[in-house]
Amino acid sequence: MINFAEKQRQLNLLKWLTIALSLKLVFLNVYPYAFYVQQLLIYLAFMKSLSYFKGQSLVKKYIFIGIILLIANIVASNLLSITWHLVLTVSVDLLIILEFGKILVEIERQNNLLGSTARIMKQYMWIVLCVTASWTFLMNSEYDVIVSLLIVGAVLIFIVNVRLLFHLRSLKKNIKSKMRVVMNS
Amino acid sequence: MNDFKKQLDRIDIPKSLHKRSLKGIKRAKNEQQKHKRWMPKILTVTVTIAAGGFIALGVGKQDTRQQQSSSLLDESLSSPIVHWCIAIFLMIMTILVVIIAIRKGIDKKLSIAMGFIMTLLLGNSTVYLQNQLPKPITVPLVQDFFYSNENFDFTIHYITNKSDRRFVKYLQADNLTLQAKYYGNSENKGISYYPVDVTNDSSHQFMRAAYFVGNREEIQTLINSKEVFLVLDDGEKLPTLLQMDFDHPEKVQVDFLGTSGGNDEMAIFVMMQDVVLDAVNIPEVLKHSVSFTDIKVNEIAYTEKDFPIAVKKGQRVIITFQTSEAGMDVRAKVGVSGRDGMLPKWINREASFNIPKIREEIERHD
Repeated sequence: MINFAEKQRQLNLLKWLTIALSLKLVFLNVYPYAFYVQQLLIYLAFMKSLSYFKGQSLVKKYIFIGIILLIANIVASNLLSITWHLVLTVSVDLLIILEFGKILVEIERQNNLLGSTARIMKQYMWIVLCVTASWTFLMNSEYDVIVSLLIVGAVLIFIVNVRLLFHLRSLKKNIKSKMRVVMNS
Repeated sequence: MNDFKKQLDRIDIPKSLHKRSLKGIKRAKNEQQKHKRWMPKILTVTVTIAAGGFIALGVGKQDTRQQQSSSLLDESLSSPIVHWCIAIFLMIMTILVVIIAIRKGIDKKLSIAMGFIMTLLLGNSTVYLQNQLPKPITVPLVQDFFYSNENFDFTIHYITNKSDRRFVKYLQADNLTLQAKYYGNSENKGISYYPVDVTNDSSHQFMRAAYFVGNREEIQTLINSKEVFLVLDDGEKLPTLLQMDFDHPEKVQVDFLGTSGGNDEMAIFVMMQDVVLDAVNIPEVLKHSVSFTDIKVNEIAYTEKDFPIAVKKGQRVIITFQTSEAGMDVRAKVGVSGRDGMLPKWINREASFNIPKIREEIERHD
């Protein structure tokens, strides 16, 4: 049984994770500076979310790598470096979200909820990995292929993120309903 | 709840039992590892195969691009072999990192997938680097201008790497400078950078157009000058092959009616005078890519062997030329001529976006 404060902490964690994922839904890559701000805000939201978690996690290390990548992007000028940056950023973001996935599984376990997180995270992982693998070919593709690959990849990532957001929402609802039961009893 | 925890803490485990359980755990771990050692092996094999494939690809490309170096073409300093050696070294490093990551307990499938993506990234980067031009190249241009015009315009195509943000600013020949017509610059710095003057694109290069307008004196200077350069906005000079000439009206004076009804390779005339035709006029630079097929007078075909041929007033004449793909832009006149003048056929053809062909053409005239 976990206490009220712990549940409150979990809800805050989920809230900030939701904010981070919602920020990811907006594609600001077209405007270079907006992209920096967006990525920084996402990392800040991840950090804030992580601050409500007491256990050990690799998220901080990944965020650190992500920030270094973000700084390195300033010197990215040709198709080669831009593709490297894109693939590495998406991979690091995936690693961060997978780490959060582990935290979500833990939260589900603590709340005795029927867990679908593991399954959703697995699908999330494979879809993002496929998109990332396809994006490695951007540097050797013709313009039309580049645009199609980017659009298809972006749509897929958008869909899996939305799905994860819905899952977070239902998780939050479940925890809240359990809290109400505790409070009522 | 807390009481229960305290009670758990109070339970003492005998030391001998503790040691035995540790041993058991160790043995179980070892057995588990033995079972799963096939994963890194598969990964090693996969990456080696991928690397082998990439090498084959690289060597193949090298063969097709082997050209003698010339003053107009700078060969890349680093050879493809060096690229591949570095790439393979990095791929092996990737495998090692993946193996270490798996041993450290990071999810096996994820580690392998990440390793695979890294290998793809390295392989793609090598292919990318091999296909980069050390410096932009220009497409040779053969152009004849109508002498009667006051202004003369022409377009020179040049090929740049996709990541090259420079553009042609002006043309330089002896003491003549012709400014390129400015197309405006698209400021998108992202992955989808696509300048406005692009006429064609391949996986690694853009074919772009520099448009110039000059008066008669300027064009005459161009015709007379031996060295012509396209100058980029950062000052780099690109040697350019230009073969220009004026289409002097006195050369053409065979009286004929209309050339309508022809297609890319043939021209139709209705003669207004008697003419004797005895020669095929194809400029020297076009001889390997344009060839005379036949001349049809009242549906009877004659080849060059039948020259000279006499054509009478009122006869319908069709001349046909065959053009093959070549690495140059052509806006020039060919024809069949005699003492009284020439039956002209204008060839309008853009170079295909085929860098080896264009290089071949440059070398031929170098």
